[in-house]
Amino acid sequence: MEGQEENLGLDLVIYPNSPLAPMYARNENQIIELREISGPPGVEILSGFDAS
Amino acid sequence: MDVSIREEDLPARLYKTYELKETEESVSDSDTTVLAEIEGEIAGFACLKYHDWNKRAEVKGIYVRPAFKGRGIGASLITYSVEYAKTRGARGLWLETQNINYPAIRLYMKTGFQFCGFDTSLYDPSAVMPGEIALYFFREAGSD
Repeated sequence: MEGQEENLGLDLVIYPNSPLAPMYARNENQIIELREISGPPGVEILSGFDAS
Repeated sequence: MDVSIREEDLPARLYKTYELKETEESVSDSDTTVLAEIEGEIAGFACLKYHDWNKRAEVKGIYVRPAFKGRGIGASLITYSVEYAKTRGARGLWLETQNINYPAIRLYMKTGFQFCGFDTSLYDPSAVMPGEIALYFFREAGSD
């Protein structure tokens, strides 16, 4: 990963050459990759979640 | 009118099931979905919509897979949502949740949202639990 990191709190790092996506959050040893898709989630996303 | 939120223990643990169809309907008009992935697996997602008329971004829903709860997925999705709002020129983010959804309320308050209203008649009483009402929360896009 390249680019100067800007710490915005919540232990989250944004890469300024890509202001919205991808974004990475770090929590101990895990990396949460955040990316956006246009529009509402499709059924293939929704159905991957338990209804709770 | 002075309104505040008071926490009260329930006599028994509360479980509520949301049908997939309800979820589909509640997020169907979002303009953006944010996916949170860990090692390529979707751990959670947020559905967002920008309203130009009042320059508010709406968080239409945040979902975290049970196996990934407690690992900062929801907070990360909120942080991304704030960036989404800033990028679109929104003055803040607004959302609706239910007074029975304690984990969600805790997450929103922890991430800078403030209680801004309620509606005792939004839900069909036959479809929700007794006493279940809608709560609204707002946070400015610029406040971290």
